[in-house]
Parts: sequence; C-alpha cells; structure tokens
Amino acid sequence: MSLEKKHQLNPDKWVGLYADYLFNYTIKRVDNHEVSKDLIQETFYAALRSFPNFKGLSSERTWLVSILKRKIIDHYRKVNSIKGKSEIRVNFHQSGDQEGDWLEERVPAKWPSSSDYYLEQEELSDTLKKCIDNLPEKYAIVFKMKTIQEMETKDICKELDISSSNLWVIIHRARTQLRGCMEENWFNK
Amino acid sequence: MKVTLTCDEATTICSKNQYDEASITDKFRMVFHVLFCAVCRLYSKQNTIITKCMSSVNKDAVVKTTLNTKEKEEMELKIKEMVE
Repeated sequence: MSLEKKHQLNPDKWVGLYADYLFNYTIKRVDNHEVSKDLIQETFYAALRSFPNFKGLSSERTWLVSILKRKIIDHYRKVNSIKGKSEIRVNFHQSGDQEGDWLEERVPAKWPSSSDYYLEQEELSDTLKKCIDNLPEKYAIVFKMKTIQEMETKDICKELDISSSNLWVIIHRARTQLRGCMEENWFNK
Repeated sequence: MKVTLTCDEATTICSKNQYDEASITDKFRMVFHVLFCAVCRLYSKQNTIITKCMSSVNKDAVVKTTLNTKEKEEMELKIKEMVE
C-alpha cells in the first residue's frame, strides 16, 4: 500500500465508524437482526481479503457499502433457491374465451371505509409484513427490491437476470396476492 | 396497437403505475378500462391503499434495532484476529 493515496483503510476503526451505518442499511433490506449482523461481518471479511485491491479512489465507507450490497443480493439469491417452491395464486383466467378476466373467486371484495384502519399502524405493518413473507420467495425478493429497497427497475433486471416485462408481471402478481392476503387478514377480518 | 385491455393487463399497468413507471398510453388505456370495469376500479383503489401502507412499513422499519456493544466488540475482535 503506498502512502500517497488519498483514502486509506483502517480496519481497526471499521466497527466504530461504520457498523451502525451498515447495520441500518442492512436491516431495512433483510429485516432480521442476526442475518444483518452476519452480512456485515462477512462484508468486513471480504473487505479484508480484497484489501490490496482497494485503490483509494472512493471513501472507505462507499467501498464497504458496495461490498455489502453484493452480500445482500447474494443473500436474497440464497433464500430464493431454498424457498422458491411455494406457488403463487392464479387470479385471472389463463386461457379460453375469458383469458385475462378475473377468476370469480379472486374478485376483490369491498373494504370497509378508510376511517379506522390507519389508526393501528403497528399491527397493520405487522400484517403486511407477514403477507409479504407468505409470498413465494422469488416474488417476495422482486417486490422487496422494488418497494423497500426502492431500486431502479433496470438494476433489478440486471441483478436477477430477468426482463422488465417479466419484472412487472412478478410485481403485479405479488401485489394481487398481497391484496388478497390483506383482505383476508386485515380489512375484512 | 389495441386499445382494449383484459383485466389482467389493466391491473398489471395499475401495479406499474404505483411506482410511477407506466407510460402515458398505458395509463390512458387503463383509465379507459377502469371506466367500464367496476372490479378493476375497486382493485386500483385498493392497490393504492397497499402502496400507502407500504410507505408506512418502510418508515417504521428504520430505527427499531441497532447492534449492541457486545456484538460490536465481537466484530472488532474477529477483524483483529484476521488482520494478525
């Protein structure tokens, strides 16, 4: 490591300086304390291993975040391959004369008027999170990347190697399933 | 280009529109469909409510937990071990 470089690495200070920031960044995206901790630890390890490759062009934090981002996506992928087996509900006729029309049993029901359900914010969030977790994993991943990580469509497509029309079909199915789940478990309970 | 959409297509555009990414022509076709289709009209309304709920989930996801001192110390230790 030459000394002229603008940005230096100080692994001794990483935890003190960046652990909170990285943890906040991670917990929002994976919603699990232990997993977040492990991902950050892995990030530090990976950073130490690629120590010689750090060119000092970006700040230490930016560099660590870029490694962490990869770790989070790897984590999404891993979960995806383990749990990718549950099925999405079909909501529309798939073929025949009525192709693309609502299936009768999947037609949305009216929800009670809006006045009171925003009051119980925390419970509502919990129900919604449970509904998201009940999605088939691939749908959950794409939905989370788009809605919680607020990633650009083209970035998600690149990461997961899917087309944008494929992405929107997944988002749409996820949202339709989510709507049904919220109807059952929250609005018309 | 066809003007009429199936319910499946109309609601797909509706979901896309939740992220402000539907094209103007698509939006027009969706509005046209929804004008005549009460079910999709209801779906659109509820889809918007889901979006609102999601934004509140995102907000309170932020500061619930942090790493405690012990966890940080363990991390520091592990890094030191590796450096040496």
